[in-house]
Amino acid sequence: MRFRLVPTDDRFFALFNDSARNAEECAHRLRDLLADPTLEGGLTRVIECERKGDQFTQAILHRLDTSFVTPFDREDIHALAEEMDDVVDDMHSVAALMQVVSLKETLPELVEQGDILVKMAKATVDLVERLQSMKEAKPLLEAIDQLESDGDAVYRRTLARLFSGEFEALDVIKEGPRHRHGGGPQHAGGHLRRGRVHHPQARLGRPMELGVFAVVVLALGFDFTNGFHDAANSIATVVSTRVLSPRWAVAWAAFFNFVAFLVFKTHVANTIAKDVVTQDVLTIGVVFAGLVGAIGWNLITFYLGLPTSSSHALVGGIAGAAVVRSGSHVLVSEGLRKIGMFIVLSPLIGLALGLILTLVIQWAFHRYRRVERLNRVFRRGQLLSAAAFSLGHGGNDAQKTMGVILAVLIASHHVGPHADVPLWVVLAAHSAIGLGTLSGGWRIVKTMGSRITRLQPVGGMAAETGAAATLFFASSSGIPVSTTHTITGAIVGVGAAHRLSAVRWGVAGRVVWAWVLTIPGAASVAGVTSLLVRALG
Amino acid sequence: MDRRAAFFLIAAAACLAVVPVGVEKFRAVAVVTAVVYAVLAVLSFLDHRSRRGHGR
Repeated sequence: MRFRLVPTDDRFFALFNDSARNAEECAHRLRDLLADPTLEGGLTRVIECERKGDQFTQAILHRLDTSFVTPFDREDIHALAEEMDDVVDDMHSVAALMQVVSLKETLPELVEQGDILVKMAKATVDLVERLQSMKEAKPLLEAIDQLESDGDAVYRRTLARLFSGEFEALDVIKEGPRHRHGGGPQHAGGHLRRGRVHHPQARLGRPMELGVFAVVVLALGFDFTNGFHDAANSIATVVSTRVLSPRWAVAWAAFFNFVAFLVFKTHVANTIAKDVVTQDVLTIGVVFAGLVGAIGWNLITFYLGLPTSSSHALVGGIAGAAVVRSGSHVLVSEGLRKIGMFIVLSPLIGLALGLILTLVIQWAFHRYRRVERLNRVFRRGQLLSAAAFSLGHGGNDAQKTMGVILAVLIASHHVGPHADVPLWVVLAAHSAIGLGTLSGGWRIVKTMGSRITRLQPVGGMAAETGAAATLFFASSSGIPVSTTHTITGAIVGVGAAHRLSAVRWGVAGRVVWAWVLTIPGAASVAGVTSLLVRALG
Repeated sequence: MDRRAAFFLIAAAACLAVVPVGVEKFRAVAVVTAVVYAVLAVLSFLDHRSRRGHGR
């Protein structure tokens, strides 16, 4: 038995099939009329199709008005129905014009256009039959494109012939309008071809300024809370070792969060915007649902006390919303495998680096006796390591927000599909994360270090440097990673350099749970949100 | 058995586990990290054994 997660009204597809077949029938009738303008009842036969087309359009629009859940976006259904209707209307206009000018015979080029129109209509019927799955649609789209080019060529050839002096002026006036009327077939074909972008798998939707604005504000809000919460990661050790007061430590971290845009390019943002799901499925609704899924999951795990990753929640959210909207084939395997790989690797690399740095420092200075002086050096060194970690944090986490905003700008046609992140987005994202860190981070410093293992200045510096190096690598390679998981891994590494019993495994174990749960959890919340967004139209 | 060495071996196995499913470009990173953990496991085991020997 077939299981459906989303209830859909498949009757729409049958109506579109009927409408497309009617357009094909109309094309045949017009072609017959073009071949023989004196054909008995030729115009009447075309008018019959035109009326049928109106009925199909009305049926589709009525169904649209009375359906709570539709198989694809409402505005796309509306636009496709109107386009199909326009095609038949245009054919009717050509036939009516032939009668108005009392045409007795036509140019062979016009018959040729009629043949192209018939082929185009046939291809459109085949395409509309695939509307539900969109499988093997590409060859048909290419064929329609080619037919349109053929129609253009015939049109230009006909115009050249009409104005060559071969015909009387009156004949030119009679023939001309049918070509000016979009050349009849090719104009209709143009509608058919344009109809292709209105299929459910294609990203559509006219610019929704309010929607775009809402998603951008939500994304920046998400970024702000990210800075607010993750400030503890970069300043906990600086504060606990009393190198800086909490307020100054937060200002320090916020500054380096902000200036990260000068250091890192926008590879991570591009990964989020382009390598999680195919771009054609990214609509404002999908991005909105993905963002709500990520925020919702963060709130749930905050309540449950799980050290979740905002980054993975965001990836899971966008993936979940897109899959619910269009199916699992929209997932970009390469991008998701890259992200999945580093869900596991980033804490382990941070751990290894934290451990190795600790060992190197301990081996380098184990004979040094002026411990107090050495500790002073490492305390100051923590300023640099905390700055480096804040830089890495800003570089990786702010870019996730940029990726979300880039996705919504692409979806709303504000920028092209291959565009890079606009400068205002870069500045806004870094400002949001920096302000988030600045405004409230000091209140929630819970000394990440002491929660996992007790850290000395040297350990704090090793952990931050190890985590910063991991983040630098990830950011420059376009890999969105969890900054929280990375610093957690690095702190565990510092603890493990001494003995495993120094590590509080409960916290580390919860990180592993967060690995497993975050993406499916956020995807589920986003999926439900996507259904709600869709149901609300 | 040294628990720390065992932990490092598990970490090495986790790194290797992502190699077949990961993207080609970053497989070397996973392999190198696995090798680092394997070396750490050996070093940790040797450290543990020498400490035990010293204790006896």
